[in-house]
Amino acid sequence: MVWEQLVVNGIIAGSEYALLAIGLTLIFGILRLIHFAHGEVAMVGAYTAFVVSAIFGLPLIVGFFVAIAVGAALGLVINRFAFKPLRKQHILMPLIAAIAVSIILQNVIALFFGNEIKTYSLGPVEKGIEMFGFIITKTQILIIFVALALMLLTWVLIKKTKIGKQIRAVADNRHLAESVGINSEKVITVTFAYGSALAAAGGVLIAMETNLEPMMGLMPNIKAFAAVIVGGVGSVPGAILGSYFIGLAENIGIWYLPSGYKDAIAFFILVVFLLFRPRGILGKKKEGMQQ
Amino acid sequence: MYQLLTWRGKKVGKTAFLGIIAIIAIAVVAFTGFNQTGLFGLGAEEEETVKIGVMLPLTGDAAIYGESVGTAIQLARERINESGGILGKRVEFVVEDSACDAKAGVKAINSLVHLKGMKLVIAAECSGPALSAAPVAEEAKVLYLVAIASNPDIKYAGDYVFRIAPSDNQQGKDIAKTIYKEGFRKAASMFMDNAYGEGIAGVFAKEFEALGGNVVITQRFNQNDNDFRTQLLKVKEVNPDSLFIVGYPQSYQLVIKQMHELGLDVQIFSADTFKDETIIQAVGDKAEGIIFSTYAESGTPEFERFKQAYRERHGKEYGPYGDYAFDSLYVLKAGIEQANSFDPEVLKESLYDLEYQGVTGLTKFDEYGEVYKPYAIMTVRNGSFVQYK
Repeated sequence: MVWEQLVVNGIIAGSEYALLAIGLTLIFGILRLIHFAHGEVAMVGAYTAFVVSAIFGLPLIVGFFVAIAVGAALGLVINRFAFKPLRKQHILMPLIAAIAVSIILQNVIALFFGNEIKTYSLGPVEKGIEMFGFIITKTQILIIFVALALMLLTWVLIKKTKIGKQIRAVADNRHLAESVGINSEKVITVTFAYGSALAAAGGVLIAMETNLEPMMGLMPNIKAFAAVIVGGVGSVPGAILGSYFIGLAENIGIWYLPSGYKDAIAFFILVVFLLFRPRGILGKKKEGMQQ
Repeated sequence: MYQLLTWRGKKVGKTAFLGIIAIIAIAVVAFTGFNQTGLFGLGAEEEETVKIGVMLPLTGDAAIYGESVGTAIQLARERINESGGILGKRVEFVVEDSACDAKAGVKAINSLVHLKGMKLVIAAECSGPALSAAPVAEEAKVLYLVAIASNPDIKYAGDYVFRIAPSDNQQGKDIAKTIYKEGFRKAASMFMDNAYGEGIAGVFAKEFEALGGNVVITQRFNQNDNDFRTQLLKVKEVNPDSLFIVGYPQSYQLVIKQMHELGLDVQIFSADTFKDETIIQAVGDKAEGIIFSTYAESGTPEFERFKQAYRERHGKEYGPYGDYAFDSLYVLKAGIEQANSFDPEVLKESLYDLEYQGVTGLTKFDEYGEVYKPYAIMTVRNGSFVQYK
């Protein structure tokens, strides 16, 4: 009973992290950029769906797709105005810019929607469905399946399409990719749009589970980043694996440890990996990582 | 002009320059936005004003309090200035954001005291930063008035530190007694891992065990957590008859939602932060019957006037702790007028002798700079907060 539930709790948390981690790892892969505002893109996505469903009264599923579109557009805008002008600068410059974008987005949303908590009003709180010794709600099942579907979609995109091949080429070695005629700026643009769309989708799902507020993207994004490192930077399967690893470790860990250590568990794993296996679970050997 | 800007020997491109301009423009717009909501004081003549430092949680996890508390204290300032100021001087605020974070609180007070030279500071603030900033104020001999933070340790923070909100030392005992009186003996305790949660949960556990009850499990969570499932599972496994939980409104909503989803159904007790309409909106009938302690509304004529004035000014009811924030400036004003001086040294002696009847009832400091104000035990009935029994 307890163990099944712990594993399910870990999988739910891991699915939420994975939705952010996929975009993060793609963006990190091609730009070596820690996209600190990625969680805020998810947050804006969640608020977009809120506007569509709660203010315009349309079904949440419509809001979900509008959020994906807005997320993609926001990703493009952030890339164009915050990161592209800094492309040739020291690697720390875009990082600082990302933190700035994150703060700006939080405060712009707080300005328009206030800091109080919003909900999608999905009906009354009910006991979840009992099965195989654990309890799970419909929303949580939906989160897990949408996360799996988006992972599959990403896998197809990366492995089976031309743009996916280009993304991998640019991630491997940007200059070499350019020398064979790949337009790396175009690849970066597509990656930002796609990664941000995933983040926005994730934001809506997370908000269905935990409500909306301007700071909602911050912590999941940090966890997702830890998942990216643990799984192997730039590797999509690695990011997914890392997400579930951290989700499970946190939830199983605090069964034995005092619950205040929950965040510490994620970061402890991160440090252990940075020290002993910096390329992560599925990361490539060093030479492949150099630009 | 942008050609003049260089970075690492290279000229900054036109697009980068435009990007920076855009960011500055957005920042300016954001700031003027704040100005319109009146969180920043307007400039006035140097000689005719008294500057008061104000610490508010404008951003971060408790930004919701920054809004309700900020507008209320600003209303107090407007009203005081309309009726001639304090000792003939207009009140001007110098606001610092603490983000409801203990580390940021130290930064905020240092900026107020050491950079901006404030002699009077109101901390309308979470317990974490209110507590961490107090020693800085004490050392610099700056009068430090705590408006809403309730952590018991603020009592011992120093001579220049006063507080107009009652301490959780009292609240923790009140709620423990209530739980015991209601016949519950096996309580689970879940609290937020910060100065506020830790303070009240500590007092509660001590008092509840002293009464003969048993705190069967204690679980901490972080201020910005949104997944409480495993903590709740641990609570469920020990089978308590009641759950005492202390956090911020966001955590309450999620704990209530997730505990019911996990099939844990016990009587919930909570504390002053529970009095927030958004919780009822979010969890609906699952909030029914939850019992919590909170600062009692004083019901004095001053309180009714404040309520009315806030409604007229902002078109809605005052938010959480607005009454305490409003009162804090008036208590300071009363102290200054009694001392006939703005000097913290003189003012602090005056405050120890002060008896001020205001929006939150009688403010009369003891030798620790603390007040006694009654708590009310409230519950949720038919979707609104009502007095319990």
